[in-house]
Amino acid sequence: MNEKNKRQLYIFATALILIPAAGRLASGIILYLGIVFICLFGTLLQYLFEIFASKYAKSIYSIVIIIFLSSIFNQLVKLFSPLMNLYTDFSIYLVSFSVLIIKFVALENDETIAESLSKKFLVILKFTPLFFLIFLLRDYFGYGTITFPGLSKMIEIHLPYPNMFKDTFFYGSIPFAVIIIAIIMASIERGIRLKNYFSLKSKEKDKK
Amino acid sequence: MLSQEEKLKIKNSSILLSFIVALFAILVLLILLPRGIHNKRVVETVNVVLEQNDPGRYTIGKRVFLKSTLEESTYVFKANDSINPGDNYVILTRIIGLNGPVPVVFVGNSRELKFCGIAGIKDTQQSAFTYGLSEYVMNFWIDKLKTVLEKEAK
Repeated sequence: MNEKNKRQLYIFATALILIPAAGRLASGIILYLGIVFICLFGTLLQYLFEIFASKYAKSIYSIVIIIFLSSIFNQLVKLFSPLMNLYTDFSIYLVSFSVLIIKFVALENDETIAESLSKKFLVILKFTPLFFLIFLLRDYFGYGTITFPGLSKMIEIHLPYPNMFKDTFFYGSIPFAVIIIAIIMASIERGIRLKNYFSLKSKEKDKK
Repeated sequence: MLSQEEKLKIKNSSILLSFIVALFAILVLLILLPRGIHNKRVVETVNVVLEQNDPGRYTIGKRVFLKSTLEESTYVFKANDSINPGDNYVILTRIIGLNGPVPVVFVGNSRELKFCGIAGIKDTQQSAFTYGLSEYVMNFWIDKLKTVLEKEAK
């Protein structure tokens, strides 16, 4: 499996692990900040630990770093907004043990911190549209709103909401989140195949 | 006498240990120090729900710390009820329903506990059903919290 396909797989696997999180965009924003926090400080701490620790202990200290950083982030969220902590509590630990974090917190050999951070943030940037699309769709179909995190109350923007979605919990529920993620992933796969097909056809035309 | 290599190993290990102790200390400080701000924010969150559902009826008092594992996701406060004076509590807790985790406010005591509203949203009086909390889940949590309040009263 080449690098590009592997990264796609990690992105999809991380999206799947977000299913049990609360279906509000506000909690998605908090989880995204968690990913950025763990990636950034995880890389810096990993670099520090590598200077003093043996190569063979790398997997142990990577896990220790991830555990501490996710607990520290959780406590920071609890300090600033106990309400958002109630929405996102255990989901932060799901994110921190997703493939994206475990694979990308580790430094490759002979890389400087700057190279490593820029590589990781490029991957996170590719992952960002999928991440926010999932939470936006869950928020809209479930509750007809777009929400942003607040200190003691979420900031809600109400959108036009068809009657067929009201008075039922199905469109905000976890099974519907699985359906949304499946449709998005299938569309992305189909889009990539169509792109490859058209690029092959244009190469054949150029040859003729 | 220790060789140079062994001395270096001991030095490196103690530096590593100090990093881990520092991370641990940061975590402990973040848990212990900011209790005042944290409590204030929780009280603000609960007051929004109480004012929308029973304006002016409840006044929030001191926080009660539970001696159970629920303490991590539950905030219990003593409350003065202007209509039924006595031992009353306001509870903000996280319930996991079919839509994921939802913060919910309950009011009452160990004999009678009722659902007040969902915290954090504009219209806190929205029915719990649209947030994936069925009657079974609500009754389960009401019974569980009543048991916890009974233990606290003792």
